[in-house]
Amino acid sequence: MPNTPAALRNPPNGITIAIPNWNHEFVLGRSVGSALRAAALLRAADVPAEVLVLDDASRDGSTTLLRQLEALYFEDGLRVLLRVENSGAPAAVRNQALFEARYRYILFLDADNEVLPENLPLLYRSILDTNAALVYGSLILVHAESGEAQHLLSAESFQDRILDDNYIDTLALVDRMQLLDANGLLSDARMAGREDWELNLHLAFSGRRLVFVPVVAGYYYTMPHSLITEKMPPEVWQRQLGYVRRAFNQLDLRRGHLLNTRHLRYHPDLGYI
Amino acid sequence: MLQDAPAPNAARRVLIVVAGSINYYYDTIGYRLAEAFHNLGSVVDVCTLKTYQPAEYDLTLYVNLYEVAVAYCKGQPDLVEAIRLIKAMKARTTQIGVVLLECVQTNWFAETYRLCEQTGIQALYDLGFHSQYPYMQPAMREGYHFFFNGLTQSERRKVLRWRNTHQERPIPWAFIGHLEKRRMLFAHRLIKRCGANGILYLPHLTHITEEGPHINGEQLQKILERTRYYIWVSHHDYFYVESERFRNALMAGSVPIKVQDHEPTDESARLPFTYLMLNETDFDEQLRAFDYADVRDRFIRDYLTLPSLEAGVARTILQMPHHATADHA
Repeated sequence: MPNTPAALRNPPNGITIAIPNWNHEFVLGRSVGSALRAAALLRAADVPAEVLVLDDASRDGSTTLLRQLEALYFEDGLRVLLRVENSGAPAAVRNQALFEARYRYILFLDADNEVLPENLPLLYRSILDTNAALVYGSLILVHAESGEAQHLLSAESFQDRILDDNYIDTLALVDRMQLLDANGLLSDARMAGREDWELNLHLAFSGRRLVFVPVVAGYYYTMPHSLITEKMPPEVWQRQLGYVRRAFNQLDLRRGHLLNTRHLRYHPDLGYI
Repeated sequence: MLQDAPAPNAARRVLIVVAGSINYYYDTIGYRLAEAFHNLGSVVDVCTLKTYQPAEYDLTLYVNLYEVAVAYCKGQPDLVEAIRLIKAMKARTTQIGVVLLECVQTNWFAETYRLCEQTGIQALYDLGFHSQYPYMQPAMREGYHFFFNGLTQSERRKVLRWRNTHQERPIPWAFIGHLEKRRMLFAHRLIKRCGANGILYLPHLTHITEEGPHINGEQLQKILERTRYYIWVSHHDYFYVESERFRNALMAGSVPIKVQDHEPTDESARLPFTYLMLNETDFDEQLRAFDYADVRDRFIRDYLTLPSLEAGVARTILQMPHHATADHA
């Protein structure tokens, strides 16, 4: 990752809701709509906010729709960036958002998911209060067609069991300065589709804090052929688990190792819980 | 069967055995009972099986016998050592019993009952809001005694101190428990219908350990002190009223709401706080119809009129006559 440009060294407080998109034309309205409502709520509370959609060279009707949405909602803080070539990795698009965002804090929102606007101010207050690199709340996993809740994701604080598998989703509010300092997300093929797991471990084992806020941050929709519904081939899983062990726990010393982030739970009206 | 109790005002020596594990829940009950016995003039020791010092007692009570035994035999496949020690303790006490705090139709109760049989303990003291006698299998009914989970003297004083203060409560509701399908579906509806910005904490089901995701009693209290409604859904379908949840809410100034998926039973009419037990189908309408300040005042007032924990202990465990316990009613 290149050196941080001078203009990025002191970004103003506020939130950029960054939505990477690749061929999600039919659900973009939902994610962008929730992000615009969240931005409006934040601004009403005197928190500067914008919505930044980064299209990763979609081949469906996304780009046309996004241009129309930008024309309609530009005044409400919607910006659209269209990549000419597909990056091949969602992490690369999120890394781009680290440079393109106007504000210090970034909420990563997948184009097929939805943020719960009412609770974003709570996440914002939490990250300001705790100086965390990343704060997150629970996500309700919803079947996209039936609308029925199926599971709860990101529902617990950081614990050692995250070495065995990830349970903290990308839908989180991050401190862009800390992410830039930590070299952003891993965007090569080793952890394709599980970049969030790698980022969580990287931040935690670099001495940074990941803080769980016990509220619902949003909805994760299970779409056909999405990462969460497609069964990962065993050889891919083994390769990724091998990478995690090699990178973060080669000597099997991590469990019980002193960390800044184990079991951090915070709510701005309660303090640490 | 319960053995004959000595004279009511004798300086009884009481031993309360708690698990002493990370699960604060049963330990709290042990210390509350200790306070009640102390207020009734008994000399009380609280210990775990590990810290037990052999001595003579008039009464020994195990708060959740199964947890007590499991905590003692941690890491061992069976509970043989715990059973052996409990049998030895039995020889040094006049009266012995187990305190229950769970629905008698569940596996947890079955485990406790099995251990009671293995150790020869026959007296089961069920601490709660309603007698579960009708729900017990006939063979288990002998030795069953219900007593009301009222406030201790210090809890009552605390409630009287703050009942007229109005602390700011920015959190509209808190829904806390381990994650399972029914609770997750309910949480989804709660957020849609009663506002999104409540506290939702549903960690996965796991043994309670230092490293685990559970919150302890102090953390729950901290949450409830800033929360208007403490809402829960039972994780089993049997009729049972979780009296400790009501007490937790009261001590934090929050209003407890039990959401149930069935109509009130015949027994419900004899229960306290039925206005705080809402049906799952229209709980949100009922909740929105509440005036928080009014319902909180009513809940506090009602709880303060109910029998104290001392009264329950005196009448049910110590078998003191009613007139001797009037001061604690």
